Amino acid sequence: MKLLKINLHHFRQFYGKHEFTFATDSQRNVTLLHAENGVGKTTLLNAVLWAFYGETTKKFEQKQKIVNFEALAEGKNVASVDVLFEHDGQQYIVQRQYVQKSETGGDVRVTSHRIENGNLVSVPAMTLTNSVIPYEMAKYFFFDGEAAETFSAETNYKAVGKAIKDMLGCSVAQAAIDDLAYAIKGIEDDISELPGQDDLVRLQKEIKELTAKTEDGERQLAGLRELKARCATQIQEIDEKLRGVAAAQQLQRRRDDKTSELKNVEAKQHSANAALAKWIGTKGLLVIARRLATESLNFIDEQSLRGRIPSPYNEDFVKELLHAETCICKRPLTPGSEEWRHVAELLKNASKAETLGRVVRARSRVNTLKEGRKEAIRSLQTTQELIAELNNHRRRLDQEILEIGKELEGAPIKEVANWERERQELVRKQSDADNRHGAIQLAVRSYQAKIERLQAEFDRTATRTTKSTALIAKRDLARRSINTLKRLLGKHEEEARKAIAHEVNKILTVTARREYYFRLDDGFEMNLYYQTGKPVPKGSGENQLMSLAFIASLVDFSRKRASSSNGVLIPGTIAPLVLDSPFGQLDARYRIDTAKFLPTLADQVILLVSSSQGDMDVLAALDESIGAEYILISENRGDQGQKSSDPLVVRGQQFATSLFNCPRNLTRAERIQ
Amino acid sequence: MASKHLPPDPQAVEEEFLNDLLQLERLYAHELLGAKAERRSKVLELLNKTSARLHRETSQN
Repeated sequence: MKLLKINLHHFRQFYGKHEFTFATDSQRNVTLLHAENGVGKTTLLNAVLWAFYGETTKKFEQKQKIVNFEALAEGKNVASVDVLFEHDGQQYIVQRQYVQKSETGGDVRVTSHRIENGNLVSVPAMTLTNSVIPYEMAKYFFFDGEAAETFSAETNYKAVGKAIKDMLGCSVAQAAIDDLAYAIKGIEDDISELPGQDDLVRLQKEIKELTAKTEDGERQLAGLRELKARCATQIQEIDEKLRGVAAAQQLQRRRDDKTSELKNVEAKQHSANAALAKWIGTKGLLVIARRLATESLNFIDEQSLRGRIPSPYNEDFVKELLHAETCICKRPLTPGSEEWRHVAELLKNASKAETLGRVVRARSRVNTLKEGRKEAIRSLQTTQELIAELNNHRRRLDQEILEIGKELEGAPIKEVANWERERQELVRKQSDADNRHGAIQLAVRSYQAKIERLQAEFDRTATRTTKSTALIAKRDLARRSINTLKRLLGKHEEEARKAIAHEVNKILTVTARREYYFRLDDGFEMNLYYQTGKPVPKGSGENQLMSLAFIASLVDFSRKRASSSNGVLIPGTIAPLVLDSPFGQLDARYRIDTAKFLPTLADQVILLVSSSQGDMDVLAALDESIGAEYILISENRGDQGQKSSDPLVVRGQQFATSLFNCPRNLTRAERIQ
Repeated sequence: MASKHLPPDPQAVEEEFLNDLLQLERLYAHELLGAKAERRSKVLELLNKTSARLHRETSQN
């Protein structure tokens, strides 16, 4: 999809009619729009979202006030946005009109048409817009750069997870899961309401109570996770401040080293404990089975001595003698004779080759068990020694870190001492949250186990009647379907997570001068690390860059999925990338690299920038990609007084972006040639 | 569609159910936004139909 034109009429700051034509050239694919804050950048971004879906971004203030104030004062109560675009070689126009009827409300009218040989052919609006850019994906194509902090914030996992799920097109499958879960609740109520099912009512009540407790526990866990992440970020920020103060620098560096060593020890403790758990699962039996192994070997040996296993006679050998009717001593064995009967009698105890093999294998296995036991005990001792050594190492490090903290707390510089006290309080909070997290997690697991037991009891009790059996079968069908959908979504999410992480790292390699490593963990938490393994502080320019790279990766992911015909997911799309204030808090050095990179992110890119963001260097970096350029001018009724006319120089032309003593307060657009 | 003479296996019926369910959800997601109660009632209808079909086929087998 490519945007061709947008026409605004009395829409927000834009009094009267305004037309924007966008760059569609494959080389010069950027439309650049200059505007100072508050003049109308965000309005333009929101105009498309509003026309397509009737929605606006979170930061769009006074959402209900659509009609321009000046127009309203003149009795003109209609505002509209027309979006002309091209999709799959066909042109379409979507128009949303708002007629204000009262202070707070009005009527909305949406029309959408396909343009065929100059004629308009009506098409269903929602179907069209959702097939061009599915609703849940739109906010990432029309992105407010200042909101990028949502992705780099300490508690980013919710927003990041949602963004990936939205771009993956999970909403339809998710709605199916929610609807099936809702149906299950209804079916279980129906079962409980069947006559004579008092036990079921009781069980259902208990299950509901436990489910509520589980949900509450999960909410608390999410809250604690956020609290821990917030503490971690604040600790990082304090550490950064301490590194910057000469008096604390050395101690803080020592603490950094010790903390890094502690993390290393913790990782080793984790592996050693895992090795111990593995030992219990695989080798513990060898130790416990010592007596069994000894008794088994004794039994085999005893039976061997008695000649029972293996027997001294081989079955095949005896059969051959009988068949040849000749004994090994060359005497004849006439069938039915006494000698023949004696030899035939041997068959009762004669052993088969298979039995012999089994005895040999059993002896060998029991011997291995005995031998393995010695090795198992040795490896257990090694693991236990390692765990003890790591525990000691950890205790030493904890003590050293504590002492560094005390030294910093007693530092003669008041600021350092205060930061350290604040830091210690955060560490305490973090540890407290960690303990509470563990306790709640245990409680939740126990509720879940109890729910499972009660559920099984519910099913056993309910299957007494034909009607309840049928209802249970229906509920189980819904449950199985939920599980299938969840499994499929989980698989796709995992693939998406990996693909997006790979793409972000690729983008960062190009745009970030220093080498960073980006991680997106399976809980959708994303973090940026220096090559040393230390995390990049949140709120830094680098994290803003990470957020931009993340958005770019989402757009790229959607593009790759544009022709995907997966039945569970909504296909992706190819759409313009509209970025409001993309350079946000980026340092000058990143702005230029980012400006060079932005045009490659989508076939069509629309950038909305203020003069502080779109400086000369940024404009120069974008220059070869700009296909259309606009400037938004603010006209004001009042006198200029001491106010600046906010001059802006673009391509050698100077523009006053704020004008005074004008007939109306409004924003107008001027195309730069 | 199930043949009158050869009932499809339950797995195929469940797969068909999932496809129909997702198709229904897609329709409501794109064209009938907001009609949640109606959508849920359609889902229940589909669930009833499939469950009855599975039950019938299990009895026949």
